[in-house]
Amino acid sequence: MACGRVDCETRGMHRAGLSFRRRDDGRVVAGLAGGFADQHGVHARVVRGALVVLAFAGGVGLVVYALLALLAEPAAASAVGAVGDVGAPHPRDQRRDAAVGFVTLGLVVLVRSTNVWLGDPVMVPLIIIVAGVVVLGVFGDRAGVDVRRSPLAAATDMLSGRNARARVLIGSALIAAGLIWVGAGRQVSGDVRTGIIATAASVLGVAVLLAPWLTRLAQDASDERRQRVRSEERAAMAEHLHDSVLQTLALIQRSADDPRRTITLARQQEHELRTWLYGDRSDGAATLSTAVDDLVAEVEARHDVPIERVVVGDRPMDADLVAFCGALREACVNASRHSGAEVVAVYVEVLADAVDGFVRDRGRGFDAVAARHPGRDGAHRGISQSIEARMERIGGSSRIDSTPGEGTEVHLRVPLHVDAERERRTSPG
Amino acid sequence: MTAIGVFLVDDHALFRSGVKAELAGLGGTIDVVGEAGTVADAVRLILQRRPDVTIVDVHMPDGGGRAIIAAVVGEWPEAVFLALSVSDSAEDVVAVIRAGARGYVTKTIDAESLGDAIRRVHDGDAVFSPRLAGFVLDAFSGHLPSPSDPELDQLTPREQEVMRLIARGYTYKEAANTIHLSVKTIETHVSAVLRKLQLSNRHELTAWANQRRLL
Repeated sequence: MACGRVDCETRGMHRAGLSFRRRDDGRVVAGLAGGFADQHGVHARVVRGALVVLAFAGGVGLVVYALLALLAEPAAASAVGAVGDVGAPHPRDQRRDAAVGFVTLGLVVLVRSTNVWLGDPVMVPLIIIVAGVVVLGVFGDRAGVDVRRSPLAAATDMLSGRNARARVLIGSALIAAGLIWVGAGRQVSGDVRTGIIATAASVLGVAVLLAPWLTRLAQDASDERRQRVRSEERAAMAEHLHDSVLQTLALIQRSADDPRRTITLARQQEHELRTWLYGDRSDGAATLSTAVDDLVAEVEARHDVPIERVVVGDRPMDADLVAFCGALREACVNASRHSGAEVVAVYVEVLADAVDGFVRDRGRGFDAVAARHPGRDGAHRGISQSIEARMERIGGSSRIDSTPGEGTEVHLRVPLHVDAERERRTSPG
Repeated sequence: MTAIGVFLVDDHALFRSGVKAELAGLGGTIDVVGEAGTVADAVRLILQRRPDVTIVDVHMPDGGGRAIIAAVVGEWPEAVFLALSVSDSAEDVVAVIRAGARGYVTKTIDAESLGDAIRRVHDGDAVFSPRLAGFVLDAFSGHLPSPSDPELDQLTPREQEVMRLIARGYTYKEAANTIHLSVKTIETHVSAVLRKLQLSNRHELTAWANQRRLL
């Protein structure tokens, strides 16, 4: 529907747009630059540097800061959930730092063509000096907010850690170069020029002297960060146990008079805990066996019927297997909802050239031939659409054997199109 | 028919009393002759009372089924064990089977099937739950990188077929009907598989369990 989509897009723009929360800790003035940086994956000192440069470029920076103040949501700590959600922060990305830099330069060039320009001899060294300061990191930054997510983030990490010396030298060189530029300017008198050049030389000298100390400082910071990551991990574990195990135990105590519910809760929790402890913690099932585990746990939770699952072999998920799991899930739901059986058995095996799936129950069964033609009431549509059509689409097959009074077995098979070598390599893992 | 004397080992007293009540409901064909909650108690009492079948928990704080079987079999090689447990890791279950248990069933089993399983191991046959059948198929059917060890017997096609049906949730009787064999023949195949599992090279099974991240 058209209007629905528009609404969706506007919301999406809002989430990905300029809104952000003020920073509460680690702020310089009002926490605006820091908050913007946190939300958009930029270093705070880059944002601050850009604002300073733009402030001198005809006061554009002050206007931008005022705009930021209008856009900002209050600090997170004081208003969690009270204001509109600003969306997930973007992970740190150096390309975004560069983008902010280029936008700033663009604005500067734009302002240069107006008559509020202070003149090249002032602005060019200013920009160089601010760039040096940004590289030096004098404006400060919240170290360690970013957990390693990408090679780029790792590079960022290195910048603040092992390569601290290079950063100090580049930053100091830029500042010194800026000062020398000022000194070399024609409007500056001789004495002042000497003073400025002396200052620049001292900056360089001090930087070289202090480099080892600054490096150690950076090292300490990264040690501290590692410790913080560790304690954060411990906190996350406590949080996870609280949200999962303790909650389930509370639920079990409350539903002690309903054995079926208790069993389901316990099985669900067991599954969840096993996955968390031993499984792949990445989101979304990466392999067939975890996908089957997930869908079984979900159906068990929803329909309160225990499902015995056995998976033999494994392989990475692909589009065909996603469809296969969809059909398998539908078969499990049917067995749980309609068969009346106490327990449902699921068996999945990865063969050399196909994947087999069986869903079996000893429930009341049904007339499989009649069920193939959906009745007026639309009953059993799940079989023809969610199971048979799905399996046909991926070139697989499905068979349903059911005897009224004895139970039902659904057999799904999807062929595999992989060369034998890859299959051999991936199936055991 | 004389009642089969069963000894129960599980560290949860509540679970023991539950199983006892269920077995008592089977009409006196199974008689619980004793129970224990720790490995030391279990070994002492089993050797003293000599039950027909001992039901052991795979996981217990002080060693579990494997330790009990190892200690008892040393003095009384004829002892018969059936492992009864929640869904444990493949390595634990396979270890108990290899220590000498004649079968493995999960705690979700209903009373009647448990009674069947006890009778079956008492008669000298093996009992596989769907889960154990799955482990066996996984370990034997070429999912190992190089099953080069001649010690590791492969399953025959018929044995594989029987294991698949059990893994799919079929009872012995249902499996027998499906492939037109007698229940006795199914029992023979299953016992052969159990023997292969108990004789197969330990190292390869461990490698297999490692690969599936079950350790």
